[in-house]
Amino acid sequence: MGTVFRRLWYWVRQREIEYGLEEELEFHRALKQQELEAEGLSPEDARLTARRELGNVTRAREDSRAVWMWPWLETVWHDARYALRAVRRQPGFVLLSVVVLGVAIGLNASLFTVFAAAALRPMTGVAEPATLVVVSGRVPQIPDLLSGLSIPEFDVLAAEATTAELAAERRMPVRFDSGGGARDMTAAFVTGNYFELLGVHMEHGRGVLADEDTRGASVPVAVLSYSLWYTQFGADPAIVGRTVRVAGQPHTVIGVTSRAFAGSERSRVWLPLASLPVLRPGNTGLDRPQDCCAEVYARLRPGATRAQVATELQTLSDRFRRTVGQDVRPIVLTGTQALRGRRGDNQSLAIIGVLFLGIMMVLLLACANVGNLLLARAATRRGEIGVRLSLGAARSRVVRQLLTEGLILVLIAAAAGLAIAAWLPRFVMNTVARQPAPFDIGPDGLVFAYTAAIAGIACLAAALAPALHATRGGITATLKGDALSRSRVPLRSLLLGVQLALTVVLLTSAGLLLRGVAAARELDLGFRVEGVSEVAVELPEPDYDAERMRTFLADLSTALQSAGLTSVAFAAPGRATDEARLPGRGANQTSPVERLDVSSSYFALLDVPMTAGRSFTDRDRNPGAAVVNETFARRFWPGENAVGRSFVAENRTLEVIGVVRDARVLGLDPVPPSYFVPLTGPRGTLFPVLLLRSNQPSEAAAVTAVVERLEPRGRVTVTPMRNRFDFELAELALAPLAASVLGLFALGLATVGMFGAFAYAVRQRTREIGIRLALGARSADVVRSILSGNARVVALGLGVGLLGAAAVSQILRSLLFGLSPLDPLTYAGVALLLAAVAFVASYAPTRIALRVDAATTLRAE
Amino acid sequence: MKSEPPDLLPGTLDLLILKTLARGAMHGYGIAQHLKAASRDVLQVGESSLYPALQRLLLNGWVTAEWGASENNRRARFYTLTALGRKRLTAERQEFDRLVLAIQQVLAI
Repeated sequence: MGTVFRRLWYWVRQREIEYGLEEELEFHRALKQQELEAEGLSPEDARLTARRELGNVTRAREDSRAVWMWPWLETVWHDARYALRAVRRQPGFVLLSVVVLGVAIGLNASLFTVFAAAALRPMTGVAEPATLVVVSGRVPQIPDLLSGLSIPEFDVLAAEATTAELAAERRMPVRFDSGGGARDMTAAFVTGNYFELLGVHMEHGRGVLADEDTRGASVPVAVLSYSLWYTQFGADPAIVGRTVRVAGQPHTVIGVTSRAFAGSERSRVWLPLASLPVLRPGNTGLDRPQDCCAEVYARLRPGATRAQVATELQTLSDRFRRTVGQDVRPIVLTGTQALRGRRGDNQSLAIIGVLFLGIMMVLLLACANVGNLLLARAATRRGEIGVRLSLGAARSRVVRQLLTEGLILVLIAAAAGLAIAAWLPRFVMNTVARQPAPFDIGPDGLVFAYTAAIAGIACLAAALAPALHATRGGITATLKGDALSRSRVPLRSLLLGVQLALTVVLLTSAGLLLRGVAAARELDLGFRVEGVSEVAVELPEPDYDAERMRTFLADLSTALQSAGLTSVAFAAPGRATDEARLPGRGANQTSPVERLDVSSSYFALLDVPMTAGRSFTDRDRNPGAAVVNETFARRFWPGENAVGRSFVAENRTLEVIGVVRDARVLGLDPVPPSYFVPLTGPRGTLFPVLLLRSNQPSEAAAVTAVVERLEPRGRVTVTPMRNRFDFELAELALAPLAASVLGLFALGLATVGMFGAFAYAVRQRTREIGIRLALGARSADVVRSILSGNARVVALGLGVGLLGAAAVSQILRSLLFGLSPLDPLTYAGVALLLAAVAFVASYAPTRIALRVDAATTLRAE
Repeated sequence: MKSEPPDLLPGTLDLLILKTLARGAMHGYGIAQHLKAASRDVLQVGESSLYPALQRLLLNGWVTAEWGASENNRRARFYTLTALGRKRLTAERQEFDRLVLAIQQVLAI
């Protein structure tokens, strides 16, 4: 305690005390001189000897003062002032470093901003997110996949849980008509306590109330999202009370959610859960425990912990699932952040991870680059550093000084980086991905802290090695200015090698991804996509139940036939992931497969050849017949003939009547094991997609006419099937785009780095070059000697980089579409490109050195 | 900051200064002279160690300093042991004795 006061006291009277210390030391010296004179030395000799024996006065003074300091405090201030002065003196150097580091830190902070917003930050626009959790069940067959709960299960949990209050939302597309034309959009059917439990911030009006969500007696009310209100209703302030049509039925608008509330997944309109069977006739979601899934939110009651809630819900869930005959499964509580372990979340995290790796490399590269710049600058400041050392500054003190200069650079760069992070993620989401983020993106305290940490690391990485290096070798060596070239592995070469290696890794990844997209473009789809159009037919929803759709399908087939449109086929829309096993095997020995419901003309229309057996025919109404693809046959009967074999899927036994070639009908990904069954009617509430092969637009018009004759309210959309793949290709192009930006930035940095390093090396050897030229060496020999020195560094960097790239490329395998991760063309191209850049970077400075007159060079020393 | 001469055990310089001051108030030069004389020229404490050490003792409150007139009437800073410093001296003395004894025992084997 006392020491704190004494420190403060010293702080207040610092100047006085320091004069005192000086006087004290002078007194000491004087007495010593007296003593020496008494021993018989001349006054002059005594003065000198006393001074010598006194040792390093400055050091004594500095050390004495240091005792009183709070560690660093004062010196840091001095260093900062000194560094700022140094920074002002060299604006060009500072600008370059700040741009290089700023972009690297900015990219880093941007990615972290996205990551923090998606994976760390709870849902926005709700009250007290800390006590709000999401309740999910872990799907046993698929690792790390969480799914929601069925409504019947939710009902039991909500009624009986005592540690938390529960609310649910079930998302589903509905047709929404604001008066200016109908559109399909995602609706959230929510329980009556949803808005109150979440504490959703409202822009206008209120949320759904409990008495509006009575099963069997729901009230037709709707809550609009901010963006829907803004875009479709022109932000009408008198929106509450207006009438809109949802699935054809009038609903009263009761409120608009606030802009901050993103809902959990881009829902546009909220409706009472009880209205689900009214708006979607035939939907059994409220009654059947097999129907999945509702998103369930729980608000912890005061005093309850997550663990208590999880335990209670687990008990309730187990009991419920046993009574309805379902397997029990673990209940998992997660926060309300956007990425929380649902389908697709892990892929998103994996993409962020890979990007993070790349961006970290860029940061390292930037640090190595600025480190080299600092080193070059330290070299030109050898004299100054030497003087400071010889005047009694401790080495640690000088190192700290140089580190502070690095820190100032990094701080400016970090500020620039934060500015980038505030702008870039939103820009990318809005322009490149063309969709608003389902969460709020923006830097917050966490991003700030992360950026600060990254900046700290960057500072140490960039400035520490040069600072230690510059002060090495003691005073004499420093003053003579030659210690720098003495080290065995020159730090400059090392930093340059690191830059080159990282650049190779980034450029190779970019090259592989670019070639991967090209490979995907050339990919053999296994069927003929050109000339095929997908015709989507939408029927007025409340009037068409499953039975009426089936009739419509039969009528449409007949009508198309009689209209002479024979090149048509039907397929159930989307994909249905299913599980299959061999007969006699247990339920735990299943494999995930895809099921496609198609009409008999499907394979002929798409030009998918049969490799064995036959396809189904229209007469062939055997409900147990199935066609499988080659992958399916290989999975279950490797090396054997699959025709005539049977398998179990969806609780029935199916017999394989034929095998078709693998075709990427579902997309560019590798073909999954799939089986095809005859299309007997619609699946759920979605009408099958009609496939049409035609080269004349008139035929598409004819199909539309047929549909409209049968059902005037039906809507027909015709899209070339090719579009689906083009869309997927466009999405794929994002990864190479990101990688190319990083790669080119890296190449730019490496080029600047090499140029700087080689120019410096040549400058250091100007004298040697001068001597050689004076002694009659030919320019070519000199050039060769310089180039060979550089070539070693370049070759080493390239070599290490290519090895690193080979390792990293394994991660990218899934994005390469059959292209080898060791694609020789890419590696050779990158190596050649960098070698060429290196040659230019070292040749130019050499030419400049050669142009210098030998005599002038030598005299300059 | 390192301030002990390499041939002194760590912490010993503080002990020696405290012991010297136990005889009465003294200025820095006086302390150095006393250490030199009492050790028969073996301990030559440099100023770059002595003055930081004195500051350390001041900071810890073991000594106080006051300006006064020296033998030849120059202004000099005199250091005096405080009660706290006296306690510290006893403690450090015991610790040092223990250490020396231990070293001697090791060397005697």
